[in-house]
Amino acid sequence: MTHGFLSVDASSPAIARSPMEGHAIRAGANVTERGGWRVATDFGDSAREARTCRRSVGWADVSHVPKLELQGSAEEIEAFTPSFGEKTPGPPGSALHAMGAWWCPVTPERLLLIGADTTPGSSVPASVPDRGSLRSADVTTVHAGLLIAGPRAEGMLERLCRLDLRPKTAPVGSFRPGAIGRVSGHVLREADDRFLLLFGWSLGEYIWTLVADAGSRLEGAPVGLDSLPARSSLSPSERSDLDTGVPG
Amino acid sequence: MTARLPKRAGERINRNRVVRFEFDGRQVEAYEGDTIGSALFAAGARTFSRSFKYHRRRGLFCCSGQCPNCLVSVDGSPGVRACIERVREGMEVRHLNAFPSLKLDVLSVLDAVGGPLTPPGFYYKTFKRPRRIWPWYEKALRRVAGLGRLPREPVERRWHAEDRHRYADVLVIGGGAAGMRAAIAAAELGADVVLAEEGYELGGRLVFEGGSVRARELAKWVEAAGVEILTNASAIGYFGGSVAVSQGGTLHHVRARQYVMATGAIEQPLAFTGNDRPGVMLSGGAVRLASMFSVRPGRKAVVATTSDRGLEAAMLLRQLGVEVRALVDMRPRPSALARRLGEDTDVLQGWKVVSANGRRQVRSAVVAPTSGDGDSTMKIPCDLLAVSGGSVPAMGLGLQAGGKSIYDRQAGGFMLEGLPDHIHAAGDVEGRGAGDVAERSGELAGTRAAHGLGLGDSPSRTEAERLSSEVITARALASEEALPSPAEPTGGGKCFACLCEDVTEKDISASVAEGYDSIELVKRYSTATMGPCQGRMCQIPTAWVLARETGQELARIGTTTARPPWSTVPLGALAGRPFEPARRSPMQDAHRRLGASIDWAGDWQRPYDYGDPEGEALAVHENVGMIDVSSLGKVVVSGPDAGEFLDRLYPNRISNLRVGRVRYGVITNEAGKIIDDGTICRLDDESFYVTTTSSGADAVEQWFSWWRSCWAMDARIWELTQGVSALNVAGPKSRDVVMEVSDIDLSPDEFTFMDGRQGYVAGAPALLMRLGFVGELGYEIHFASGYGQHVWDALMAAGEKHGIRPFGLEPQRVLRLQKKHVLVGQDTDSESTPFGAGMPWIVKLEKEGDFVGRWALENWASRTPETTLVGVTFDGDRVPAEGSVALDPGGHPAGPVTSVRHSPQLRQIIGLAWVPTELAEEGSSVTVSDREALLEGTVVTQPFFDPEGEALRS
Repeated sequence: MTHGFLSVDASSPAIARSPMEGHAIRAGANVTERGGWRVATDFGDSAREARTCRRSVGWADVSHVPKLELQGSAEEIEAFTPSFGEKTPGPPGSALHAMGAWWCPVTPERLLLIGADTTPGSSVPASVPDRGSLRSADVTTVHAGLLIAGPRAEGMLERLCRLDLRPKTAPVGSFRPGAIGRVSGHVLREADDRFLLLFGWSLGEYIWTLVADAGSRLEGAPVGLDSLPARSSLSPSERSDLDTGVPG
Repeated sequence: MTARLPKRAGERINRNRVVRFEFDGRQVEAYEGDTIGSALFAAGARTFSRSFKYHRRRGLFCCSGQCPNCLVSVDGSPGVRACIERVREGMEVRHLNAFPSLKLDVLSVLDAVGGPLTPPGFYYKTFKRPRRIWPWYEKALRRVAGLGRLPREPVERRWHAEDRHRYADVLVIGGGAAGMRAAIAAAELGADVVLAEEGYELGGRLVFEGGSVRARELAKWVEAAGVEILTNASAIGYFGGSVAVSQGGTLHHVRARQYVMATGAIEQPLAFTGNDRPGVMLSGGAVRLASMFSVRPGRKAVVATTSDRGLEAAMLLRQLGVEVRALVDMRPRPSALARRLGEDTDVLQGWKVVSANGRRQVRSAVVAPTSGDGDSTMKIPCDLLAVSGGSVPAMGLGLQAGGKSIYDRQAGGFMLEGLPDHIHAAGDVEGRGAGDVAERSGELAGTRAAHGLGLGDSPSRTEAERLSSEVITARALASEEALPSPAEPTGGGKCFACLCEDVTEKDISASVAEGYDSIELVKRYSTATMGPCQGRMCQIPTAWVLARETGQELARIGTTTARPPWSTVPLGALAGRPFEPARRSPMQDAHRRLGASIDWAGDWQRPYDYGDPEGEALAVHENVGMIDVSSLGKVVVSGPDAGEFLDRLYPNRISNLRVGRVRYGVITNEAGKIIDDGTICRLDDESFYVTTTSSGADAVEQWFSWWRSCWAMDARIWELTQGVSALNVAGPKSRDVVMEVSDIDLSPDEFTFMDGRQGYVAGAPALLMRLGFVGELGYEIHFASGYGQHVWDALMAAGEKHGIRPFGLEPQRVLRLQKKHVLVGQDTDSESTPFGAGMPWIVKLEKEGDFVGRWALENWASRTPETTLVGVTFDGDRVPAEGSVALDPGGHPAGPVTSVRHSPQLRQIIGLAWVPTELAEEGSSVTVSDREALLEGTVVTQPFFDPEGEALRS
């Protein structure tokens, strides 16, 4: 499929922006060009931002994270998706972390690949073979993204959406479609206290406003990319998945 | 602080911290922990506000937030219950419903004259004539009616509560002994439990009935069990599987799998003349005031009751230093407790209160035998008349959740029964019992809730069975003989059945006399039970009067339907935060900087113009203009069957489109009616890029997906509307502008009209399509949304020397109208076919294969449509309104004028209108009815501007 115009080209001189850049700047963000994107690296005090993520909740604009949507027959999607024995991501609502990406089944015939690396300019490591009816499209700028991190992250999500994201019903790796602030989106639990929110690019300003409003009641604050904590609370089994390759 | 009792154990005030606030401009001192009500009462205030209809003095009554008597305004917000709202330093408290002052209220004249003049339903019968002065009536009534006044300027957004969606295994409503034990039991069996308590602290009746030590123990236990505790949190309703709990600035939507209703019971008032007078209090309210806030509710009390509850209160009041002058027990025979109390207090067994006398507050109570012996009345001086008409289960939430209200003759009251399996009742809501039955019934309910989740083991089930039998036994021990009606006929004066709405016992009788003889009809006609207490205080008194007047048993009368809200809730808590989902272009900041007037267009916020719509339209004709069209729907269809798939969806042929070419298409439904339109660009052999209208994007994607699954074709669909932004650069100089920043050869021979190419624009990968929606040479540039700002800035910079101007939706509408380009949804409706819309050329019935709407379109093709969409020019200066009506030759309405504008380029008023097909010929005259005016127009069948299309093909 020929559709280069759908993608951000990290090698081009053009610079891409997040739809939330204006709000981030008004909130005090220092913006830097990295990997073809302008990104909010910090909000003036990285140490304070890191503390916010440890003690309450911080949110970071990660709209630049690469996303790829695969479509094909259920068999082709399954054959392409990494398998970890019984942990194969078959059931709806669960994603798999492998090869530096989150493999998120949307339906049996649709798979969303989300880069796990928040470094601007990185790409989804998996290359999609052009076989059968399997097709892919770069949907990086279809979905804007916010990472919500910190012990009050779940509390913030309770104020943004109606999904049941308690650890016992949505453990690490859960990928849930649902309404975020009354608009459709997805929530991926990357770690116990870290969620990735995906929502429509054109709704970036709206969602930022909601998140900032909810965050202000939880003593939260926006944080820059450089202040984002590592996925420290990832379970050991999940961490080992990071190094697992894609079979076949 | 005149009425303070000496410091005592268990009081909830901190005497070391004084808090000052204002009441009607007067400084009041309180202690930390005081409520507004306790502080004002301690300071000597007895009247807090005036009543709803008769403007009678009202003061503390229930002291538990159940009744409407102490509503005040706090910092400009009306409807605050003084008896449960804690004092804060500097708060401004004002009375409600009195003018010019609380002491001297001119509308209190209604109390003297209003009874006969304002019977129930008087507002249905009065203020009707003369009609012309209704506006004056309305104004006056609006000033008089209501409970308090909202500030003219909204009090910012602080009334807007945030919504919180909390899933839980068990929600326990009520933090008394039963609720706490239920929460502990469920949590200890492994459930995720939320406990909501409307008071400031856990404990319920324990806190003021001498059990504060036990309350603290249980509260600690609840915390240790990992229960999420919400205090000062009122459950306002059960909504199909979730309970909304209002807690200050947060509205919790708790969706639990099991619920425990531990909402307790509500003490009921008694019916007698003057039963609303300041100084008349529920016995529990008097005890609460004394025990929690160490405020003496009165010096000389008369306690009147229908059950031991009032007697227990009398004992507590006496312990707290109140002189109980008389105990009036309506029961014919004394209970054991009554006998014990009778040893040192006058107990008037089988007596009732006839009236409470006093002007500003109670000065005496007149009592008489219930047997009706009027000669035996007795006047007892007192400043506190504590009453208890028994208690009724607080079952509103349980009823909303599917329970039934059943009259229990043995207990003499309504009971909550028939709850669904996932709803459990605990404590007083199930009925009172002996000993610590509340705790045991709570433990039982919590255990059962956990069992309902599949938690617990065999021993816990055995324990539940043991608890169950204990609770049954304890309740049986406590069951009392059926009580006499607490609503006995009284003499003159007002005896209130409903304190909120000032509905008297006589009003209920009058309603029955007028034929409103069921509880639901009485409610609607008299408004009893419709006030702030939502029937908590007046449901049973109203039912008793109704039973008396109709001669029916209470069991037949029943109760009104329980509906949310169960507790009062600020409307702002229901409104949620004031944010509206809005889609915005990635170039929105640029539009703002350029002074765009931004408004809603569907769910997008788009620039309507940049301050000069006519100038912007002219710039497109004369030089070059640029419009943000990112809201266009965009779909990629890809796969071996993609061409055939689109052939089946469009009435024209798509599969023969060459790579790099663009074609216009209209989508019709099975009935051959237009549902959307747009362009299709072939990207490669198997891929097509489809654009749709801005408002049709989601519907088209669903339409495509539906048919794809029906036909099981190998074509994949990506909805990319938000991922791809688009700009339309149009005008005679548009080529020059775009060429400056693009690597694509745009020369006329290389890039012709309806060509589409991929390349780079300002360094960003882009798809260019040469289109002509606005009638001039133009390029639609599509690129990843992340580049929106970058590409916009680059094109504006490149166009500066060419006089580029941004243009908004309004000039775009003028420009497209000049070309007679149809806007689907504006110029068409659900009944429009391509033939009627003047686009027969789009339907290719000769193409092979079936397509959606073919059968219908073949039929439509063989008929002449009744009306046809044509262009119309109008004489004169008046621009008819869109929606005005084109008339047929007989002067009858034929169809609407769908679009109309003044064209600055043509210096003429032009429009599109559905006219009778016989008039759809060049030069025909058509008459348009625009409100009262008839306007003459001339039909134009060709585009108004550049009919040959030379400009856009240049």
